[in-house]
Amino acid sequence: MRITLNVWRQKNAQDKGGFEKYDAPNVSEDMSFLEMLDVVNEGLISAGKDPIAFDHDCREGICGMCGFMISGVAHGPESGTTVCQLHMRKFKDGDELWLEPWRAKAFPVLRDLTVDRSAFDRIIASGGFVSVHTGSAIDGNAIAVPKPAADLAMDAAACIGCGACVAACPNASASLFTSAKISHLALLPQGQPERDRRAINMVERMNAEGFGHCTNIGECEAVCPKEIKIENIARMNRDYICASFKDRPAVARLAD
Amino acid sequence: MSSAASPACDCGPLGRFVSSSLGKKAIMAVTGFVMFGFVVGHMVGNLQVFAGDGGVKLNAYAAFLKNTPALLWGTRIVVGLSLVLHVWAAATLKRLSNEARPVQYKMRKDIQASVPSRNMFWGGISLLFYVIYHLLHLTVGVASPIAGTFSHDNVYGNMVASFQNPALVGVYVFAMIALGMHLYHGLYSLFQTLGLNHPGYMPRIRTGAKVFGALIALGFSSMPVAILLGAVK
Repeated sequence: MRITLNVWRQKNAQDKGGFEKYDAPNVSEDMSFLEMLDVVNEGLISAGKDPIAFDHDCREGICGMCGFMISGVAHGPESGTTVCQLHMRKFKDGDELWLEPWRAKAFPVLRDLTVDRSAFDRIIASGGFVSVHTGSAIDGNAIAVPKPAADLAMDAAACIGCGACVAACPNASASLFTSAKISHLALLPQGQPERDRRAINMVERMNAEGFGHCTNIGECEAVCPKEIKIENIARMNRDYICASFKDRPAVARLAD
Repeated sequence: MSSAASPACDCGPLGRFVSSSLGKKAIMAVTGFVMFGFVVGHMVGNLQVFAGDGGVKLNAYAAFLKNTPALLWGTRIVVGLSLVLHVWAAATLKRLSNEARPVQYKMRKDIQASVPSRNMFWGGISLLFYVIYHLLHLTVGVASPIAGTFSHDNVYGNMVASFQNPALVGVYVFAMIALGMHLYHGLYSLFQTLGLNHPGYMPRIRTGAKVFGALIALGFSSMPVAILLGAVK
């Protein structure tokens, strides 16, 4: 099959960037989307041109590295799939596609289709963890975890942090990501001691990174390759509102 | 989590709540619900235009409100304050949203978002202009088409005189469709925003929001349309 690609090319963060047209004449329907780009890049390299830069790592749909917009949809037309697991059989011979990087102030473009998602790391660093005192491991069954809670926590923890939710949101909101990270700990007993502080810190970090607000339209859920539910956003909202009332400054801060 | 705790501002818990996007959304949800409550009461009261008594009941109801300043002004203050906070939060959040995506996509498709949910801001702006006109038209009585003949004691007469004008009826019906759509997404959305979400309830909440949005749009639109068609005179 033959595919025409309009790809966003941008040399670096300062470059203005623009679309360039590429022809992919011999695409096999068994190729993944990234393999198709690999072939296009082979051609560019042998012609002495710069290959198209795109993020990728595991190519199994589980690492969260890959992702860009394919004709206006994050990770392309197949739902519940990362772009590395999207196959060319989902397209038709003669299709013309537009490839764009995630667009958000908090995700600056590094080069072509590659964006800097360090903002997500900083949100995690602000509270997406449980503090554990080191020492001998406790007994595995010492803390009872209800099965439904474990399942919901696991569903939320499936988030691979690819950034498609931000990319698909008209407000470039990181609510789905942040809420998934707040939820998977909030649902487990181990996450309770820091639950309020976590919600406040992670929400404030999310705001400080320059992501937009959530308007509950659900586009994030629709493109999420891990099918994270916006129910998590409601849980984040609930935890944040409750925490705003429950949270007290630490004793040390009161003494200041 | 002793490490974190770098507050967004030195303004106490309330200041931090209000300065966050979630806090502003919560304010929008609560104030929106207050205004929804007002809109229901306003519609039920005004539906007395259909009493078929030439406006006796409706005008008596208006006189009752006027003679109960605690109720009238209490409502005006609460609803007015809600409107101000709602618009302030919307404007602030919209600015954040615009700043969050400085470079637009060449192509961006919505996969499933409903039309009302995608047009909350511009729908809201339309409603704001409508509310200003509506107050000048039927509360203050200085806007056309009845600026000269407006009477503070004859609500029924003001309505009947106004809605002979098809263009005005069109404006009112259009505004009520916008209100119905705004309420559809708003009523559903407020549960999500306040964290009152449950997979067992959300489909019912969504249906309920649709029904209430449609009832408000139909209920309000029925009055100018009935007057235009001569069913109420």
